Amino acid sequence: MTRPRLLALVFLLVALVQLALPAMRIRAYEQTLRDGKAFKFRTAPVDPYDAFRGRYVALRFETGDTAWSEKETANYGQKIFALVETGPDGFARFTSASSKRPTGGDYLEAKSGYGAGDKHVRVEVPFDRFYMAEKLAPKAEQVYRAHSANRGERDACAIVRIRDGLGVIEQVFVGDQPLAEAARQ
Amino acid sequence: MPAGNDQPHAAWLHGELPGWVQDGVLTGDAAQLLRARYPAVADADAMLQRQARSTHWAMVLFGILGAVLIGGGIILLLAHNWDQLSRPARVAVAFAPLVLSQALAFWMLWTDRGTTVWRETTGTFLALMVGACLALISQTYNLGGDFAEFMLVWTLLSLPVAYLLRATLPAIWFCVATVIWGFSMEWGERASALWFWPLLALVLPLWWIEGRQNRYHPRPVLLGWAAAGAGCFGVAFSCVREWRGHHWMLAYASWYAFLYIAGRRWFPEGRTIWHRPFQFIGVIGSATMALMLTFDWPWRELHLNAAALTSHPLAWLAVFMWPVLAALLWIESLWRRDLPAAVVGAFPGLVAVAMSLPPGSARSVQALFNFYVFATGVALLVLGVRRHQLGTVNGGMLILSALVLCRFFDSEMGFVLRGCVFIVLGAGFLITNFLLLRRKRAAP
Repeated sequence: MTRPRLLALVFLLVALVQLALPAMRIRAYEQTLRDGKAFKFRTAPVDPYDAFRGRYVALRFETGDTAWSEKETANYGQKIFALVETGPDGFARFTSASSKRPTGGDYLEAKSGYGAGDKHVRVEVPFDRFYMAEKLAPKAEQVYRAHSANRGERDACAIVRIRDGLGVIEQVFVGDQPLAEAARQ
Repeated sequence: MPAGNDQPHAAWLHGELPGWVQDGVLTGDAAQLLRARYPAVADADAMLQRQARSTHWAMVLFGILGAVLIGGGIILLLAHNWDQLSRPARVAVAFAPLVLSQALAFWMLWTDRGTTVWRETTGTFLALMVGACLALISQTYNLGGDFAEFMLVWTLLSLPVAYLLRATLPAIWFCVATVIWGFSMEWGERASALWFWPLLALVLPLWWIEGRQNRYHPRPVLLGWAAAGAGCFGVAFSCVREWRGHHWMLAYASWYAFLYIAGRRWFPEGRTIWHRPFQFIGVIGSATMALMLTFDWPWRELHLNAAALTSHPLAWLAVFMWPVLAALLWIESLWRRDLPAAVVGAFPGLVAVAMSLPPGSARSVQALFNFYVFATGVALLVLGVRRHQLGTVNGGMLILSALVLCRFFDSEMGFVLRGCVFIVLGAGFLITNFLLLRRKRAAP
């Protein structure tokens, strides 16, 4: 086989990897959206622009401190696994977290936030952006803030599907309306 | 011999000579003598080749610019977020430009038709489309804002394109992207920024392949600038943690000394600054560092915590890799009797000595670096005068002037001491000038 042909075949492998990696991610996200269990996360108030990925509404979640089940205090930014369940108020809450992947139950792969103590950790969820159409995003940000500000109605929440540690935002609601619809009105 | 700017005239003469011989204006012998007197044929060829080369590089640049603009445009169009599109449609939109650019690259490789213009253009476009695809997936699935991870995946997926297509711009982009990756690491994950060096090293084999035949070819030279420039940021990433913070002086001094000596050792024939990225960055960096260390502030609160260096497997390597490599090269330069390399290479050694002195030696350390910078300036001045190299003389003068300027604004030194030093320096300049002029007049 000639050198150019060999290079072309090696390139074919590289191209396959370039396609496979995003495709595998898409598969995991799609599976999570299809089969993952839905949790309703209460959001809290928080400039939304990313040169590569477009405009988004920045989300903050009220998850509070979670029990830490290990002896050593979690470092900031450390990978952790947080068990999640739906509380009596209908919103998701983390019950405990550790550095080891749980063998059962619903859990989320996340990072440890600032302020971890001996017995608690702050779960920093990996989904903190809700991307929106360029023109709709500023209005959506206003609506979202109005519905999540301390003195507002505080009825903004995100539906997140969770499966095998992966969480994907399905929709963000303000009241009983999806955020995009509320922003269009 | 015709001067460089006579070449068009010589080429014209060579074009006219056969006609003149035919018309009897000149004899064949006279024409031959004129050809020997103005040997322009080769020069004219060289000129034509140079013109062709510059046209070729203009085409490469325009091709790259086109690919960057189109690629950037596609990224911006996708960033608009077309929320009317369903998720499968968005996935198709994410993959379509990537697959298209991959198909083009594959066809070029398979048929071996890729010229430099096409390779660079396609490589650049493909690298950008990898980023566009990843960005659109992030957008579609509302992925979090971990920009460092996004950049890392993008750079790693794009680098093979540079190797397979032998395209320089994707490799340069890789160097820039590693720096962006280092900057976008979150503070808590800064220890992982030490992986910057292994990551940057991934581009070195390509640089070696490109420079194997001609190390002064624009491709390896461009890549050399990009890698050396990226490395300057890498030293900062290696030293950001508080426990490595005060090793920055040694790490930076060694990195610049390493660049300078390596440049002199392996790239001694670079005609211009453009062809000598390592020497240039190395000498400018070393001079700036040395001048900084003549001040009081870097030495005021020097806390070295060597034990803390063990908290990450790469920490020792990141901080001490450059001192060791610079020391080895320095010893080799002493062996080769390369005076400029020996002078610049001594700098990290001085920094190491200064750092090992007990706390409270700030004054002596400052004096040491003032002496080092002064001695280097004078040595360059003397060397330049002896060898009649105006550039070296000017370099020495520049270093001395910078030192004078630093000390003028230094409030730590007393007015009397500063005054005396200034007068001695001024007298030194005048005497040098006088001696140079006398020697010039005495020359036949």
